[in-house]
Amino acid sequence: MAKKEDANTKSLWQSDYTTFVSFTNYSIFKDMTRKLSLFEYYSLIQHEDVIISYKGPVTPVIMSEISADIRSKLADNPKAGKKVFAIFMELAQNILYYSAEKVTFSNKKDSVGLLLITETQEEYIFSCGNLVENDYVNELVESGEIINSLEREDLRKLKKEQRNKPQGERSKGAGIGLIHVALTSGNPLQMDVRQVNDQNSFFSLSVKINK
Amino acid sequence: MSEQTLENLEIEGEKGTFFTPSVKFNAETGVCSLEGESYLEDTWEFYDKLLVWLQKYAETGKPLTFDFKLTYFNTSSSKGILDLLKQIKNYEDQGGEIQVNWYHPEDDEDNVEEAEDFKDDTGLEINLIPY
Repeated sequence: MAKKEDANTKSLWQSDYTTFVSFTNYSIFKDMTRKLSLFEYYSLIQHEDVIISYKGPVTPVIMSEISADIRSKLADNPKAGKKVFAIFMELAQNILYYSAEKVTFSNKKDSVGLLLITETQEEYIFSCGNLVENDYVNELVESGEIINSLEREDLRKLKKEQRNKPQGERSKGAGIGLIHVALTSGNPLQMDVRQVNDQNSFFSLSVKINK
Repeated sequence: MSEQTLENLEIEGEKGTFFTPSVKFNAETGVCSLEGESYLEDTWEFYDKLLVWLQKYAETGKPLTFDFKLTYFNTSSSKGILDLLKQIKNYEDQGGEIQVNWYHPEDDEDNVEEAEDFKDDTGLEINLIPY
């Protein structure tokens, strides 16, 4: 495992983000004086009904398994289920392509991220989190704020503008994915950023889908 | 007009790790359909194949009917779909006789909104047909 990844995980532990236990980075087990406890992670989400909770490499195969699971679990409510599915697909792809955290197994490099779907009486809540380069994270939050400030019709206009742009080297900022997520959910994007080291921040994004 | 005969283009729909929509482009009748779900490993490569075929078909000057019946497509695919519609609009502008039908599940408002945005974006007449 590369040194850079170890550094990321270490500072994650040292920050107040201890609830995000890395299942994939075995460096935490090297120091056996620190016992691995998933209790905080468990407590954090236990007040809501968890549909999916995943932290680890986000690969096309994992995505396909989780998306199939979403479809079957939400089959009773096809309207909201379709929305949760579409939002999951878009945001999991963001992690797949853009997460700053990578893990290598058998010479295959995968992006790491966290995906969480919970349910309350009135809504489904989709959340995801991943490391993002510090240089890029502000831009990401800014686009989210722009998206949140727009009325639906203006958001659709922005989507069309973005879609007509030629493919950039990296679809930064107000990428069409986030706009699509906001349009599909019909609710604002909730974002949170915690800087974990000089290089990266942990970016959380959460969105509600009404039942 | 091209002397070479244009072959039909058929791609079987598939739902595995990725979702390939089913493609049936008929060079004889000019009836083309794109159906199912679109989330691809290489979106550009897939839609480029369809665009090349349409370009060649347009050279025949024959009428074109395009049926979209998509239940899910990711935002990358939506760029590919937009390119297809732009190509169809191009053909219409050159005098091609075209008809575009967009089939959507009756209660799927998001799907309808997508179609309206495509309409807006291309200036094409798109018939919205619920099923």
